Amino acid sequence: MYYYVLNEQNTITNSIVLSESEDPAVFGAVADERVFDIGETYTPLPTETDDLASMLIDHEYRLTLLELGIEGSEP
Amino acid sequence: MRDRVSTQVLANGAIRYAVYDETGAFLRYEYMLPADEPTEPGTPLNKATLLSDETAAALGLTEESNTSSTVDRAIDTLRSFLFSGKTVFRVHAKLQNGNPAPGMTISGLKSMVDNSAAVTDANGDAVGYSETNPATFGLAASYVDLSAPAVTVTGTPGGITGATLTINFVNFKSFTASTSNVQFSPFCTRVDVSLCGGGGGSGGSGYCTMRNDSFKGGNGGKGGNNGEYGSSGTKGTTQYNDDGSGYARGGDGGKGGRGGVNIVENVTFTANTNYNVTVGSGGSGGTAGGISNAGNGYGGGDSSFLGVSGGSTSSNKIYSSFTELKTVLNGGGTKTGGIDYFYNDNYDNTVVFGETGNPGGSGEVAIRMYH
Repeated sequence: MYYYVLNEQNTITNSIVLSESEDPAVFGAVADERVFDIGETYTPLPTETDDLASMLIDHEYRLTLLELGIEGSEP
Repeated sequence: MRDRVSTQVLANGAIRYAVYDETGAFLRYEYMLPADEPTEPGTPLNKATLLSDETAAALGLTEESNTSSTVDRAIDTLRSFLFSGKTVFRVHAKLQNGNPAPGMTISGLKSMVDNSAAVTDANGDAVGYSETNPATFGLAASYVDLSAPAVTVTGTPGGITGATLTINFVNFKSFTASTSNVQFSPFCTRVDVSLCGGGGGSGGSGYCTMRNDSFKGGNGGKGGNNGEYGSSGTKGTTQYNDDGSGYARGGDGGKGGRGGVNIVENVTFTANTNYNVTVGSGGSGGTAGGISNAGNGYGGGDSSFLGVSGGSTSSNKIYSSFTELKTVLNGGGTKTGGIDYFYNDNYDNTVVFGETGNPGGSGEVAIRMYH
């Protein structure tokens, strides 16, 4: 696990070592398994809600194609 | 308890006394003051010295019952407490130099007054009870500059059992991971901080075939705390020998730069205050070269503590003990490119894929403490 310190623009300003017993928030850090470099913009992982919303949109899209009788393609 | 309040007192403090004859007939008033010129005036007998309002209140003898808040009742209250089934201890906390350790909160010992954690007084003593018997006592606060091996004592119910807690000074501490709530004791007089940033990761090694040796290994990442820049990755190489043999060798990933170093002596701190130690991580190694250049190594993170951060490459040493220094070389080492040999029959099958670079080493914060 990597721990990144972010500024208000979500730019990674530091990368720190943290033991599992410590709360990343105390150091203003977020935990992530992905590798970022200092100076990069941090993109949060999609939440469960984001995933569900994406699946719903995809489902609606495919239903609409079916109703219109159009061959499906990836949105 | 109440002090006597006189109304007939002279400006010099002399108090009025009445003089009677043997029949009880009043004769006159006289005003008197002690005039024995003592070398030691002694402790006055009044409410403040016998049983103060604060002590009475702490024992549950409230203002409403003040007329009966006598020393006798106070002692009786304590006596009933001692025989209430709780085991009472007097823990003496002393420093390694033999001096008492006042103001130390003792774990395992509860105040007889309000059940809070007991704190040592000016003499290094704390009196309270334990919920267990035998009881184990230690320092409640985890001061970075003190260590106190816990002591276990079997108490005598109905009495007061003594225990001594010896507190040792710790004069060196190294942090290799970020740590919260670092506290210094009131006995710490000076702190020197040394730190280094995380090392940069090395670049990934490169991809290479006999027909294409143009791809490069990644560059090394920069060390944290203004550390070194990593070195550049190298291009792949191929060689053909007269006997029909040869090899393809992937480019090397450049080595990561070491973290910068900073040492500041006698930094400002406040005892009994929580501080966070931040330790920069080593940068990850660059991605392996596919049919492209390999990725560059990632930069190391910054370490900081007590306002000390930054750093430079003018030195590469931090504390390894209270008196010694050690060299920091935590950049990820060069990621050597792979090599694949061929003979005439497998020329086109000679392919070297890159590998992920080496991560840099973590930063470190090492401190010296004086008492």
